[in-house]
Amino acid sequence: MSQSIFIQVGQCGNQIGWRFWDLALKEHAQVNPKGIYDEAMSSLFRNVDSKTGRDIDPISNLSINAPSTFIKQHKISDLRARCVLIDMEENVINQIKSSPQGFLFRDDQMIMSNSGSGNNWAVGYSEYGTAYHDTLLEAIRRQAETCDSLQSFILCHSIGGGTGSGLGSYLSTQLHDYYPTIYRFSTAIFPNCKDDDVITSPYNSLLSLNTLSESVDCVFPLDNKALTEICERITQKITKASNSYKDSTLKTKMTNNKEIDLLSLKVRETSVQHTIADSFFKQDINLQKNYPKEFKARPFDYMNNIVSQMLLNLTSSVRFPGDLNVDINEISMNLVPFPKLKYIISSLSPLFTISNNSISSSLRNIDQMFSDAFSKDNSLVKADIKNNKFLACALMLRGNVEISDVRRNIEKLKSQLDFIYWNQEGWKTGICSTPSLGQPYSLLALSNNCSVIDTFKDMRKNFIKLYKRKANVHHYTQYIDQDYFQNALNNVNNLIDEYTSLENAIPPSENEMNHWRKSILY
Amino acid sequence: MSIVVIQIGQCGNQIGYNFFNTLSNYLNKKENKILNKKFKKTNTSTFTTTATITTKKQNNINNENDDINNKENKSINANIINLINENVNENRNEKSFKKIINSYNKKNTNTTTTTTTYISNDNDNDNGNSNSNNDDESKDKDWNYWKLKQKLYQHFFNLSTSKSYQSSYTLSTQQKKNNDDYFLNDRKKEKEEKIIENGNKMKYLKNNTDNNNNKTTTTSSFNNNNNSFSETNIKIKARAILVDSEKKVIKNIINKTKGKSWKYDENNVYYEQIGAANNWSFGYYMHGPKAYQSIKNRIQNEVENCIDFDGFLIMQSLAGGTGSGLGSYFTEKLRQDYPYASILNIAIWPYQTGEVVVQNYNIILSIGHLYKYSDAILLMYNNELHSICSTKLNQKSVSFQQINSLISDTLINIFLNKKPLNLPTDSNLSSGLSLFNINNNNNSYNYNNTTILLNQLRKFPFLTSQINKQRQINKSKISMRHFIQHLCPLSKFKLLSLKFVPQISGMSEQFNITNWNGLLRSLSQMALTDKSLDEKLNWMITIKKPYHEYHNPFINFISNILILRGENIPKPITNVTKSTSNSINKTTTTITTTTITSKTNSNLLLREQKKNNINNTNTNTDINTNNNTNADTNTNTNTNTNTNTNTNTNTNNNNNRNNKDHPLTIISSNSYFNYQYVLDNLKLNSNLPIYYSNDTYKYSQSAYLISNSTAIIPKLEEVIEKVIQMYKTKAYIYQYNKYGLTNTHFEKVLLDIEQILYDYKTCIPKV
Repeated sequence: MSQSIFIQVGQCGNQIGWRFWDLALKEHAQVNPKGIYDEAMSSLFRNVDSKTGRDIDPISNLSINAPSTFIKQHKISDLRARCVLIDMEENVINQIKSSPQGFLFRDDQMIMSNSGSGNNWAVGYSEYGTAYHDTLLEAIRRQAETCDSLQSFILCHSIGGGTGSGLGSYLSTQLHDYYPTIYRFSTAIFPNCKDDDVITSPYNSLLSLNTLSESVDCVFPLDNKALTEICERITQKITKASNSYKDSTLKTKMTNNKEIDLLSLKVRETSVQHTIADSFFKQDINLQKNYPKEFKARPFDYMNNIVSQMLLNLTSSVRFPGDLNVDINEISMNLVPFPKLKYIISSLSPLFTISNNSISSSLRNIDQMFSDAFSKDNSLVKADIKNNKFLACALMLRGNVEISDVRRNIEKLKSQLDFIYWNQEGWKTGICSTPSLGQPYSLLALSNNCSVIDTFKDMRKNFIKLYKRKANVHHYTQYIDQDYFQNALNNVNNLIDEYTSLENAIPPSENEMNHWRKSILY
Repeated sequence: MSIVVIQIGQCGNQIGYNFFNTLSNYLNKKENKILNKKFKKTNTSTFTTTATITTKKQNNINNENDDINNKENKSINANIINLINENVNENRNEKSFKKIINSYNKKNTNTTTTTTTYISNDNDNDNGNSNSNNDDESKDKDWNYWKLKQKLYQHFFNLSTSKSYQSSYTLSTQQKKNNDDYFLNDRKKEKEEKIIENGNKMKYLKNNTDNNNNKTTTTSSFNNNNNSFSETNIKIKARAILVDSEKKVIKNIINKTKGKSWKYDENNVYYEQIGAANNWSFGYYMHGPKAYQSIKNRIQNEVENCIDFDGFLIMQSLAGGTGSGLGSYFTEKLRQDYPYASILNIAIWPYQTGEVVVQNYNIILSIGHLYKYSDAILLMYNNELHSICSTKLNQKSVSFQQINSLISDTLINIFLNKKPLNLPTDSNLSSGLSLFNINNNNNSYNYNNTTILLNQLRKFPFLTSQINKQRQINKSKISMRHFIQHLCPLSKFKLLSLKFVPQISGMSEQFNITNWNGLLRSLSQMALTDKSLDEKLNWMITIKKPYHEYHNPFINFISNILILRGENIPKPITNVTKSTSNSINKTTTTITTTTITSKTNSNLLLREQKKNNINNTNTNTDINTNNNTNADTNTNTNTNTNTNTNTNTNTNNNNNRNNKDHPLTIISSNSYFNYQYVLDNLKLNSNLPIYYSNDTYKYSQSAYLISNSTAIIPKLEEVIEKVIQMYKTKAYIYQYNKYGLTNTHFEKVLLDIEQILYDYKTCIPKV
């Protein structure tokens, strides 16, 4: 089983990571009630023998019927996440440490500093990058050494702030140099272009886009605004069905306890205590009428739940078996036709935060799920993928979905979606038989779509607005050369050009094709 | 024929697993059927035998058994000798031949040690036959069981036993002998089938031998049950190599085999840690060399284990990276290492859309490579199978599991035992042959001599090659090589497709009335119009009208093979009336002694009699034993006549019922399958070879047509069109370049595919 190492950088990255590990743990607890450290788990977690401090090998499927003593040996004893936590502030990491999920992380996986990066890409990239170069790589190397077949790094960061964008992009270049054969994915939280709390975010985001486009295999852009909208929509739905929800929470709590009961002690501890989102949600339901504002003030956990749900779906077929396995490296193979155009829009269906499973937002049927996935509302980026050109599309399915359902829906969607002429049949399907938490089936649609241009255009506009007056540039030039700015601008211009040329691509005439065909063949 | 299966990639492995699983289920059923049948017969026979000789009964049976063995051997060996005689002309020369061998032995004192042991062994056996030891018997019965298993499973499975049994196997010479006999038996049975087919005149003799066979096997199974030969002693392992770039699927499959009657050999498993990322280049250049290096010895091992190695069967998909990339690398390397083995690739053609974005690249690359090294590529189309599943088999939601099981069902029906079916026009020739053989059957040569001869023959390559040639005539009829030879007469046409009927679910089969006429009619039209579904066929398209691109675009065939499966195929209809009379005669003749002859068979039987007598006089030493055997068989037939006549009349009734609906008459009437063969003018393929088997799986009547035809053109064209369009923008090519596929290489493959297309297009007549 191949492994992935999760690298969370900056405040935003760490908060997402926090939710991600919680959900991942729950998901595995659901599948694996005996608490055996199996191969599915080994791709994200490692199991450390508490006495010797060595890693225990996962139990292979071959010997699952082995005697109980053997299983006992493979019980989860000391679970660790395969991840590295990086932040230039102590706050969030300390919170994580003291949280119920804190046992997953050890000090050697955490790299902290006292002073933040001050929302300055250059500080994160240049100053902290060089200063922490050795410790960063050492921590990653230590994680990589515990893997018997490391396949991918999943970088999780925002590109608006300082640490996530600066240090994150620095890290991606280093990973590119030190681990060239290992796939690097970046889950980048794009800033809200309309009204952003950080003034320098246009600089930060374009600068980090520039480095990411060269050093990462795939970028999954996520939009804060789209995420908040999704969360609002979900909660609206939920309030309608709050009565039914009360019953269901009781039920889910019961089942949760029961499920986890068999898991090892530490997992049980964490899960019996309500995770933050759950408790928060409960609070929200109980006190909704009295304190509706409080909920809106801190929607991050919901948003992060959605992001981590998407990440879990992405890695699901690496971890669990299925009819049509999709290895994580197949994603970039199928979705990235040209090395530069690697911005992949993800959309989830059904949309849910973890606690409101199987109630109001539950699906009517499978076909609904497919059509929902391509609607504007379900996309995790503000983009209208339906009315723009597709370069390629991947459907990552989980649960009891059969190939005939997929075929039927692809046929249906084909007429609605506009694919580029040379890739009319650019569909990739993955089916993972293990459903996601609390849902019978779910779909993650990944599309390489021309609608990302809009986001880039907004970012360029904001960037130029600032850069015209050279506002705040002097903060950056302390650390980096001014060429970086020009390069970043050129890069984004190129991207926009390439996407627009594809958007407007017209199939060549038959004569032209035949001529060309002859020229290469004869 | 033994086949080594190589399963590559997720798809290939899942199909392979399904294939072996259904195959073993089927074989198990068949085995039980055989055992049950025999057991029943023993019961009836014991009932019919007079109860007064209960004490002697066991001994009698044993004696019979031995004698019959003896006789069988003789007749078989006589066959062999006759084959020699074809070269050396007369019976007398056989002695001179022996002399040669003896002299040869004397010359080579080194080798005599081995050869003399052979002789002494055989002598021992003869002695052992006369005074049969009980220990030997039990082993013998075990061995009979083993033989049965071996015969059933040898094509795709390796059998191994527990150590104790193996040692006894190597020690006991009796079994060694039996082993030889077993092969001969096989051949003999084949010939007997011929007799059934053509030689109604010889029914009497056949009946005799049939009874003998029944007798021998009955005793064995009878004793099997008594001695409680434990099945668990025999381990069945699939002769398969599992290769994948990911662990998951293989582990899953191996897990599934737990508790099954068969297993994969866990040494034959190879997997990488990282998947091939749907990238042909990754699979071919990165995983290929590593995987082949490490599994090479296992492949060699499996090939060496085969009794009669026939070829490789490679199961793969064309869309993904592992199946296509690794598959093409393996074929290339296997061709290098085993230049004379036949390689058949079973390639799964992906859906038109939806599986993998870069599937068209992968298809082109893998077909381009496979075409160079493989003998034939049998393409299975996912969407066709899917539509069969959804529309004909009434499955609401189709899963890959169902498609895979459909694939494996059809594969089993293609690859399982089958015999050539001769059209009535050819029957004269074959009946002549069978006559010849039967005459030999009655030759009573010294058993001792013939086995020695057989053993000695192995020392003389020039003689064995002759005999082998003769053998191949019989054997090649069921081997994969023969198939491929026929289907791909020219190396530029290698792409095969498959059509099959009936397409109904197993549940509804018993409610449907299937007749051969309907089945063959639709199968013929399906192939002509290239429709995989037995539904909404375009009957307007016929071969009689001139070819037209739009109005009458029929498929042009390079070659075809038809496989029929049904319970009473081989009985030629033209002789049905005769056979009924024959059977009646038989009952009369068998009850009396051999001297009494019926009116229809009188001449033949008299001839037989004469020959018997002549042989008896020729070999004076064996007269006694021969007489004994005759007497024994007579008594046997007496006891068994009741049951036999019953079965005979039953089958005849069936025959009569299906008189009009018989594949032979249908096909020979030339109303279906009267295709145009492109290579007719080259005198390569003018007729449609038909194979049949009475063993049915799933359907009581089914027909399969493997064809090499121009139907592939539109499919290949579609793919190449897409590839060219995509390649023009160089989309995704950088991923292939990353692992070593150069653009020039890619363009070369494109050119190869264009050449294939061009070759196939030349088969279409120009309007």
